[in-house]
Formats: sequence, structure tokens, C-alpha cells
Amino acid sequence: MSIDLIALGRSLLGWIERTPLSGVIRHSDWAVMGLESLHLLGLALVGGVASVLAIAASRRDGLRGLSVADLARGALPLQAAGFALMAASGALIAWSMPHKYYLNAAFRLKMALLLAAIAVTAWLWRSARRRGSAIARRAAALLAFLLWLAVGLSGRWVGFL
Amino acid sequence: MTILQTFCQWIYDWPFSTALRESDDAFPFVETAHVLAIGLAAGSIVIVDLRLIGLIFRKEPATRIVEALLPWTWRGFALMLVTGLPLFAAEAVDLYKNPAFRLKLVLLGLAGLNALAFHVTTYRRARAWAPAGVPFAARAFAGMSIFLWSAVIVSGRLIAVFHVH
Repeated sequence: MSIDLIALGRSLLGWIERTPLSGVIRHSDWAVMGLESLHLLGLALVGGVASVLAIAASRRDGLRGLSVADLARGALPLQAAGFALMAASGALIAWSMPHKYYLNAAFRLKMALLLAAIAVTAWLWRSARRRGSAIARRAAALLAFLLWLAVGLSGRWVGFL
Repeated sequence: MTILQTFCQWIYDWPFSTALRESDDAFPFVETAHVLAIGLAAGSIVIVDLRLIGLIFRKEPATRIVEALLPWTWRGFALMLVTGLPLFAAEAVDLYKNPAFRLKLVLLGLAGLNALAFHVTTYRRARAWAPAGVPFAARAFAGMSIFLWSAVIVSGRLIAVFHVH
């Protein structure tokens, strides 16, 4: 007996689309617009904190003596809050049009980049609470910024396809 | 036609504006840079605001966080203007009529006034804050700043929704 994964995937997308929540968002005049606004607010927090950490990482003394580790300890909770807002609003938007996003190549790329950005940021968070190489932390902060930037650019690209 | 509308039409007809409006790649590129700049400006100011309110960086003196981050807010703001002005020029005639764009300009003005008021009043005495904590007035300005910047971002997003030719 073999399991037809493609058929299973299709029926899963179909099930999502038939849930009441999906229909309510899809047919509302303002829900997607409101969710996209929240998504953009989350993006400003995630991107803003990532930029500040990258700027500190690019300078030997950080920002006025505040190192990447100092800034990460204080500001990563804010970035996590921004991320929660993005994830919740993004999941609801995707839930409302599952086929559209599943078939979108930019969306798939975005999800892959997102996993990488989360992994590097999680490492940075853990590293900021321990001793360890400041150089590695600076490299991670720069890499995290580039990955979040790539997530943002691929997100913009989702709309063009 | 009002003087302002004539002015917008004049900007709209510049060869530069027309070229940007009709380009396939340049417009989305400048738009992306504009969003990045907003991220830097709003992200860094929110870190400052939340420190003033007392939610993050409690172990660092508030003035240290302000001095480390505020220069980058201004740089982000400058980049926002540098990228925002060409975007405006390219669509000046449409934006003149766009209620979300008008609201955004008003909110930006209020955010600027809020920042100015903070600096000429309570922040003047910032050296005397520590260790007693940040006074209520400064925390109120910080809360207003978070609200206004959030509203600027949302109204910026809504420009696309109210876009009409």
C-alpha cells in the first residue's frame, strides 16, 4: 500500500480552505488589509532590532560601548514580540488563501529563509547569555540581519508572483 | 486647481518623476529601501521608548540607551526622506488625493512635534534622572511616540489600499 502524498497535501489545503476561519478572512473587506498592517508592524520591530544589532556588530566598540551581547539581551525580547505578531498575522493570511501561498515559489523560498533566520537568531540569543567569542556573535548578528533582509525581500516578492 | 495641486502636477511632470513612475524595477527597489529605512527608524526609536517606559534595558541608564540609539533613528529617518521624496514625486498627483497619504503626513508631523517637545522639556534634565527613574512626562512622550510611529506605518500601508488614478 502506498500513500499518495500529493493527494494528501491537496486534501489538506482543501480542508484549510473550507474551515470557517479561512472563509471569514477571505471574504472580509478589511481582514487581510488589517492583518497585513499588523504584519508590517511586526516587520518593523524584527527588522529594526536586526539592523541595530548589525550596526553594533559592524563597529569595534559596538554602539557607545554597548556590545552585540548587551544589545541582544535587552532588545531580543522586543524582536521576539515583533516576530510573534508577524507569525500570527502571517499564519492567518496564509490560512485564508492556502492554495495561493502553497503554489507561490517566493513564499516557499521565504519559509526556508525564515527557518535559517530563526536558527541564527536563536543561537545569538543563547550566546548573548553566556561567555564566548564576541567575534562569533558579531558575525551571527550580521548574518541574522542579511537573513531577515532576505526574508523581507522574498516576502515582497510573494506579492509580485 | 489649488496651488498645492498645481505644485503636485508640476513635480509629477518632471522627467525624473515620469521615469521612476514608468520604470519596472526602480520603483519597487526604492520602495523596499524605504521600508528598510522605516524599520531602522521605528525599530531604534521603539527600543528607546520602551527603555524610557521601563520595559527593557532596565539595568542600563536611560540616557545611555538614548545616546547609543537616537543617532541611528535620525539616520533611518534621513534615509526614509531620501527614499520617500522620489516615491512621492513619481505619484504626486495621485497621492495628493489619497486620504491615507494625508493622514500619514499629519502623523509624521505629530511624531516630529512629540520628539521635539520631549527634547526641549523633560530630556533637558535627563542627567538628574538616575537613579530615581524616568519621570512620568518622559514616559508619556515615549508612549505617544510608539503610538504615532505605529500609526505612521499602518497609514503608509493603507496608501496602497486608497490608491486611485
